[in-house]
Amino acid sequence: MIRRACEGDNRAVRALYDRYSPRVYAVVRRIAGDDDLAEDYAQEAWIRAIRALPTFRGEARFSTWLHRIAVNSALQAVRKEKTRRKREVALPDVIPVPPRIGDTLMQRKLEEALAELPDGMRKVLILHDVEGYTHEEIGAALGVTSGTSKSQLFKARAKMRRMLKGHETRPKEIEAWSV
Amino acid sequence: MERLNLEQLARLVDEPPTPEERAVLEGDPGLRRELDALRSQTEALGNLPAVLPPPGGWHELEKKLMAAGLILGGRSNAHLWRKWLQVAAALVIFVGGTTLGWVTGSAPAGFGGAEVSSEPASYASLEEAMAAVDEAADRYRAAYGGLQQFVSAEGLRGRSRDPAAHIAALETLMAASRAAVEESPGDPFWNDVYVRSLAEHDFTIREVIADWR
Repeated sequence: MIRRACEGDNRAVRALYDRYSPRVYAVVRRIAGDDDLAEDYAQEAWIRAIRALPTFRGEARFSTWLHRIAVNSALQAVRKEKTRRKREVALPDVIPVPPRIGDTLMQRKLEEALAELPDGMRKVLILHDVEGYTHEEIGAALGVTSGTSKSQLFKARAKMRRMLKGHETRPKEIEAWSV
Repeated sequence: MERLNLEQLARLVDEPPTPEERAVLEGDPGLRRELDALRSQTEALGNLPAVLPPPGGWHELEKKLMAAGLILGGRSNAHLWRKWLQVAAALVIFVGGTTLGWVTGSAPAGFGGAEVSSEPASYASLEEAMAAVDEAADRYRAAYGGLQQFVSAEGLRGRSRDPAAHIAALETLMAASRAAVEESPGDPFWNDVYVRSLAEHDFTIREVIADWR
């Protein structure tokens, strides 16, 4: 299937998309913190991945290889978006992700709290605790040392814990999503 | 040692406590509950579900991939096009090559040489790729029309003076058309080419054996 996708076979690329798009979209959406941006970022990630398919040698699992492309693509897109926003108008760093029908209460709270974390902490927490990256891998992806990654992770966990306990005041836009 | 703060507890989710930290934890049930809560939080994050992309995402992506030349048209298959081009190339080679062995007769215009490459090609745009496909389609139609013309009436076999070259050309044609049939088993066009080349190959072999005897 990968060979065919590499040759530009529409059906093979569609099959890969059907199989892997939920995982790709999930990580991109959490990094982006916004549905509209996530959609664009996910599509950009897929375009990069399909373009890079001839370089896939099978040393890692395809899902792992694709996931890394998605993460790197999303991180790069977030950086670009922040630069663009800074040039235009000061907007909040993160737009909270609205809850979806079917999410459990705990999942909803976690997603909301993730969206509230400062950018650096959020990326590290997503990559480590949600996606299972090591600190070395996070360091390589974010351009920081593994020590910084660890330190950010512990701060992020602590901050998230406080938020989940309701110890921290939530911004107004978050209140709007609370039901 | 003083009471552990939340960040220190967050570290203990992954790392073992030092003897001092262990002593503090053992003496403080509140801290142990907090550490358990952090562990549950970490576990819950790891179990967050995948998220379905919005509906229609594929169609948007498909358009972008096509525009970037990374996939061919909606219902088409690049591998099938490639096989198709291989058959076209084989037909051109076959008909063109067969003419070399003739003493009389002339090849119809448009398929006198092997001009189509079966090597993977790269194109700068979708338009360029489709133009190449159209061009190959024209060549294919010319070659196939020529093949039918030569097989019918007097027939190829009566005109060929070089059975070895004829058999080799038929084998090229058989291999290419068989590959196309495997990719598209229900296609009458490829089945026809395959069966014709197979029958002609069989007949030529028999003729050569008969002549030899």
